[in-house]
Amino acid sequence: MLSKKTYPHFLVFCFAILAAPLVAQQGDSLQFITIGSPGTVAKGKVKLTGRVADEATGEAIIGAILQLQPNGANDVTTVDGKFTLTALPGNYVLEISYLGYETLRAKLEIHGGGILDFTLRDKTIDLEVVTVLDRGREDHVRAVVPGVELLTIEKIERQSKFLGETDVLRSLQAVAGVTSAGEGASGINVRGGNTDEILIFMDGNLLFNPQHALGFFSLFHPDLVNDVTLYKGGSPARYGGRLSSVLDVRLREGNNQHLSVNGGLSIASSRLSVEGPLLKKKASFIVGARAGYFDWILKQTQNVDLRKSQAFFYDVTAKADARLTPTTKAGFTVFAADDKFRFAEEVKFDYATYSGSAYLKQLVGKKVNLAAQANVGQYISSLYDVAGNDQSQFINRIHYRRGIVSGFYQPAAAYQLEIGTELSRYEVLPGELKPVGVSILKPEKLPAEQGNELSFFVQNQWSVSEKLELAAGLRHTFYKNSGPDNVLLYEPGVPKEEETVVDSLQFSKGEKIAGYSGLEPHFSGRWSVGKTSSVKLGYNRSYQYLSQVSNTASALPISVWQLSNHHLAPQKADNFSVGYYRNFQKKPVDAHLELFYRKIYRLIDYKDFAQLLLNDHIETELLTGIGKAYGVEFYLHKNYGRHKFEGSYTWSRSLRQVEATATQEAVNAGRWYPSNYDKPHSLNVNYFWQMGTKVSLSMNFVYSTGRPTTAPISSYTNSNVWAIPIYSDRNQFRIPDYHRLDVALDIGPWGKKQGRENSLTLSVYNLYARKNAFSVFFRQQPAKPVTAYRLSVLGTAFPAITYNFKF
Amino acid sequence: MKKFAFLLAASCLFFTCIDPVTLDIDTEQRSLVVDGVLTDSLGEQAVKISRSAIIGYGNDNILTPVPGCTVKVLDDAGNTFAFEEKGPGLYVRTMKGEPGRAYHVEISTPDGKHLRSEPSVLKTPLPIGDISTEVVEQEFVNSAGNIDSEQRLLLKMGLSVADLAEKPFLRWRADGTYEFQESTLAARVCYVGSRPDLNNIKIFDTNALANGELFDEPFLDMLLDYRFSRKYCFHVLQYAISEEEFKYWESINDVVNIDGSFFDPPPGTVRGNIFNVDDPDEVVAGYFSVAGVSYERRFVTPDSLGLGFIEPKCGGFRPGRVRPPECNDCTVLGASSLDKPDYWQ
Repeated sequence: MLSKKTYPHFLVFCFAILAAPLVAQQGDSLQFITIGSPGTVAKGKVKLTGRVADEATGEAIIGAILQLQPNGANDVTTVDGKFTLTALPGNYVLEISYLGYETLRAKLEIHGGGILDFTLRDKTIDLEVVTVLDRGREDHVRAVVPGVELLTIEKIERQSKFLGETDVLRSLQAVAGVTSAGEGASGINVRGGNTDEILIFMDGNLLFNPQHALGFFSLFHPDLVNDVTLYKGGSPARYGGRLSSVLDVRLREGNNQHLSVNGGLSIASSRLSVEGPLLKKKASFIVGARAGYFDWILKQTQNVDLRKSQAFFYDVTAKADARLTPTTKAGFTVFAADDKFRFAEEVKFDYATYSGSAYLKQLVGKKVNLAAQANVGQYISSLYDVAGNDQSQFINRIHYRRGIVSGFYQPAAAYQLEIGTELSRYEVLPGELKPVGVSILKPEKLPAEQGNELSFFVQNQWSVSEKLELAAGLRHTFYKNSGPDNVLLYEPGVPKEEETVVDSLQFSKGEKIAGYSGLEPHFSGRWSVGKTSSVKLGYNRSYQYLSQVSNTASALPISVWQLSNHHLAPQKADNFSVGYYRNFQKKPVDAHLELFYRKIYRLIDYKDFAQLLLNDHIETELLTGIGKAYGVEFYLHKNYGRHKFEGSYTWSRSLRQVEATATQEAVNAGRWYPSNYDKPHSLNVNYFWQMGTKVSLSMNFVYSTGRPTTAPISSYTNSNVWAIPIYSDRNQFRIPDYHRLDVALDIGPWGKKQGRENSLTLSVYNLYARKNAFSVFFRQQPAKPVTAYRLSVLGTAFPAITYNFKF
Repeated sequence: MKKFAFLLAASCLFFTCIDPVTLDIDTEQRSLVVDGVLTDSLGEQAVKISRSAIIGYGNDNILTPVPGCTVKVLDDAGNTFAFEEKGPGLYVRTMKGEPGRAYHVEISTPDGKHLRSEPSVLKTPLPIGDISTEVVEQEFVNSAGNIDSEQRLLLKMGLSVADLAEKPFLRWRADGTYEFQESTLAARVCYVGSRPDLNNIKIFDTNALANGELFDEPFLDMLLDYRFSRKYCFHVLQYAISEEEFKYWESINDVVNIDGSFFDPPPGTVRGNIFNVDDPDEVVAGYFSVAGVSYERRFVTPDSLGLGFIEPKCGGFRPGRVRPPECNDCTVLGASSLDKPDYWQ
């Protein structure tokens, strides 16, 4: 599968491996430390000793790398965190780095020997041993991969609040290039991609539906989130299986010193978390739970049907981490989330995710880290018909088991290598219909489908020089779709339809039905221009073997996931990006500009009126096309003073093309047409004002072009049915533009002296009550012209008050 | 997909709002529409040909008839049945189709287009089973914002297809005629036609039945009002349609119920079984239905519904009171006649 196109990237990758051990300089000066008395100059080399510890826990850091430049002296800390360096008196830069911690750089003015103690700040909860990238917004200029966004919880809290709650996925929509189909829509769209093109992890748990309550909340408990990394274009080779992007949410480790409780109460949801030591300084836990209860609000309404309705969700997340030996760490995260939804006597659905992950990490010597991680989980959704003769339950589910083993090697501060392998097994039960009660329906069950993905990956990161840094990786996945299954064969050269089935093939358990494999190069490079700006390039290829089949404006919680099989080859994408990044020297202000281009091959599209539920010949409803998305993103951030500002503007397009072939009909006569997520202009502005020590105000403004829609252009009557619409070509019109302003006032914390912290959040979502259209549809009353209506999900200002506590 | 509309309402709690909006849709495209039915029942078989109504132009929501077409129906035995233009765009012929025989229509328009339908086999009609009625109370919020309830009448169908080798696809329709009494001293009675199933698409695939037995499947739901104060006659029609036609109505049902919810399928133009011979990509709307039909009449009175009394529109004669015009002259009602139909019991 190493095609001509991938060769150049493969060569770059090989080159990176070979040249890597060369060590290069690095570092900005931050701290300034004088050692010895400036008046007296020692003769010959002097000895510097000291200890490196974790800033938070005071625990010794084992294996931290110290480098003194320009003389090149280096050391690695011992089991008790101690180090020794020797140098001639003079001016040096000391760099201390350790995986998962922020690299510390200090300017040393050495006049004589001395003892120095350093503390390092934990940068990430290092569930994965490897931090291949420099993370962090502040690192935009230095990070090597373009299009990486890191959100810390502080930054998330400055974003808009709905029902007084901050939310990871809603905050992400403030990032350039990230949108959703509208309020209440599931999933996010990254750079014009489908919602299923994003790989989502929470502490190593793969998630298929990251949302509660039809998208108003995400599954991530805000008190447990440590940081959120979104790779919009290029990602390290350890990630694979989705076309457009990776979202990696990492949870905090519990406090290993003392017990503490956090919580929040608002009108429709509450959250609570407890954390503390299991073994002081060695093991900790954190448990969080949330619930959303809308029933009592529904009961206040005038609508009889709403009064009989139900909307409820909960989630529970538990995590424990332990340092088994000074060089071994282990932990696990378990997670359960459930949503229940019912409308009157009509319909009901629920969906749930249950998942667990565990990891073990071992430091071998001073330069090698080994890690193993396992993840088991399932996603289940049910749609119920609750009234009449056809009461039934439609269930679909996906089970997955994943294991990943990787080794990480950092011979020097300037070079990192990671090698690993990952095996994922998916079992998809695409649909089961169970009659309920007096139902006249027949039970029906589609057979389960099995898919295995075996991947090998290698990733290098290498600082070639102060100016140039390269990251190159390669991932190769072998995919197998296996039996038991019954595969329908269609007449060749004509469209696949029920009527053109000519034969079927029966496969026994484990028998290979279809196999695909593909090489996925990942490459990025950074060239620094002076100390304050840089230029970056990125490219990666990705394959997707598991896709969600959904032809609605946004994917439904009950939409079926479909494995690649005999009829459906994996989708493939090439992602390119290039960017210019700049820090303005004197004040913490930074800006960047990124261009991206994505090409998608074997894109899945749908026939008009495709029936996707409980369909055992789903290939007859699908079309194959190509897609492209491209755009430019601007970003500006002022992060100092009492007035802070963050803004982004994106111009982008997301287009697709489905041409007629012997086996399929065209969409829009084979012309390029906008995808459902094509929003050319998108603007996000966030303003934060620290009004006093305990009062702050934040404001968010959002604007985007209305999304494409297919509108009726004329109508007719047939039999007893009138106003039957005749539609335009697909997605030829647009719904009205979207804009919204949110404000939030944070007061507190107070009561700190009593050992607790209280705070209040007053927020208004959609301050000027804009009726943003989620969609536009058409109705015709007798003897009146057809009228377009907009449906606004949150068509009014939405105030909320939340009380937060911590003790 | 209609039920998803409800999901939406619930998902948005009580903040959701729906209001008219202006879209920039500027087009003059009209499509040809063919609405034709051929059944095995001897009578006037009709094909209507028109052009679709443009959306968004004032009151221009009326189909424009296409007169001057040549219309003929052909069967698989080589017979041709020419239709005659009875009124603008309305082409008829008194005949009946034979079950088991395939029929299609061929149309030539005055501007030289040749339309044609896919041949379709006329299905053997299935006798209508048990029609039952049920009165239900339904709550709603009245204009004053208070919860009120109204009585509705459900018409239900029961039948068995257990003995049939080929399970039929069915479509039900119902028209109505009711007695309407004036409140003048003479108090004449009119027999008024009504369209209780306007926009009610009721189709059923009997292949989905667990044991071939269907019980009390509701096929019509209407407000129990003054029309039922004396006597109401339902004319129930059951069409045995082709699987293709079943799918057509299924898709029509989807598009007419699109309500902007998250769950809406992406809309598209429903293609029927008629196409332009010279340009198959041209959208020709409508359907030429070939079906076996069965018919049954069902009379309903307040007594038969177990209700005793339903308030008539025209109460007793009270001098000085302003009465609706139809209470003085019931013939002003549309499709109204003073002649008692011969089937009236």
